[in-house]
Amino acid sequence: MIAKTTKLADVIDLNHHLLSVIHKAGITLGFGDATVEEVATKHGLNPDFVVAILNAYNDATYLPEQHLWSFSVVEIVDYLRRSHKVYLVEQLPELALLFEKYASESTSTPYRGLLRNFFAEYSTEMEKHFATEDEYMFPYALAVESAHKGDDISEEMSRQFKEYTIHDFITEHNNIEEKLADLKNLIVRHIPQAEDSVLAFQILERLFHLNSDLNDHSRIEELVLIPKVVRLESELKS
Amino acid sequence: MSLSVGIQVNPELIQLGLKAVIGEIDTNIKVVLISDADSLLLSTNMGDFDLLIFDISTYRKLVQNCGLSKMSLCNKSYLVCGEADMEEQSLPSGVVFCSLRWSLSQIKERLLQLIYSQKEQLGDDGSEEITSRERDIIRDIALGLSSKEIADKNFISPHTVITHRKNISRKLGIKSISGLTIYAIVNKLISIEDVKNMEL
Repeated sequence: MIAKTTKLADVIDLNHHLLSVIHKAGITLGFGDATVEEVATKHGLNPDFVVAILNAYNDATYLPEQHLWSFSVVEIVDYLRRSHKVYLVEQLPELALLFEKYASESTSTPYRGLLRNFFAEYSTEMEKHFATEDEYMFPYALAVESAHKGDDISEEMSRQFKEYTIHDFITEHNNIEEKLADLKNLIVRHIPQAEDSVLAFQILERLFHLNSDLNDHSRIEELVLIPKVVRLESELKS
Repeated sequence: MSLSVGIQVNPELIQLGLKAVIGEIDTNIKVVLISDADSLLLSTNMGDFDLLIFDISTYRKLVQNCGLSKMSLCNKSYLVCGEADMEEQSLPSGVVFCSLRWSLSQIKERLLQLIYSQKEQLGDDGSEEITSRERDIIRDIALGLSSKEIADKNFISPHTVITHRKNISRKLGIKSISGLTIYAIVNKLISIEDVKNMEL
């Protein structure tokens, strides 16, 4: 278990996949021997929240414990929004570049163009999904929280959110995950490579990484943010 | 691939009991105990099971949240556990009931029936090879036909088409239409000219 007093450098030694969490939380590297708490405070983040997110990504069974419930919607949404940006600005474009390179390489499979197009289709869906969350779900979640504190909630916002139910949202998550799994399986199992392709291996490594990262990301949305908003909402009504 | 069963029944001791009974029927069945109803409702897990066993309160919650029509579309079986036989009356057809007050052999009998009918439905012959019928269906999917159209063309019921699609996805590890289209092209089931929106 990672604690506030754990050195951040040790956290990365423990599990280097947590680098992506650190990056998405907006923490810069070169933090010396500072603890999680010290680094978080320096970056204006709630240390408890950073610890909880690190643990959630480090250990899949950590959720849905009560820990993350104690954080404000603002903190959670802030982290999720920053994550979206990392996916949109870094991870997806980097993969798109690799697929582009792969498609232009004559030594790769003759079906390389198909794979590039399939990835483009997946990527577009992903962008749309993030945009919907950024435009409808997050603002609504924030509005519910501030209404809970006594502010008014606009009817328009409430209507927009109602039209987009939580189950649609989870179905969409499933559909998007499906495409990513298909893409991995096609490359690993079904498409013969003309030659030993370095790029195919690189693409796969990144796809697997993206997949597990997105799983953790959805877990936070589905098991923390949504239940929290649902609870705030029901408290508002009563 | 073997059948997978999810159990969300309280108290936990009963979950363990049901798991043991299923283990006696077939040791290859993958049984997952789900700790609380909420995580089942919110998680993506639901789609992964062929058979789901709930207690009556979880079942009601689920119907309330997902709607019955959506649940029946999932092509999976549901077993609802309750106390009195009375509760059986309130369930729609297609949802099987089992009373926890029954004798062990009665409960086992009911589980046995469910597991075998689900296996049959899945066409679970244990083989991982794509059959020639499945190849025909992959071709149709890649050409953009709907399940209904595929059913009419091949003189089979839409339900059978869904079963075939499920088996195809399980065997190939590909679920989306675009993914199956690429598979079809790579395996020369269709030619690239057959598919419009795709270019090499």
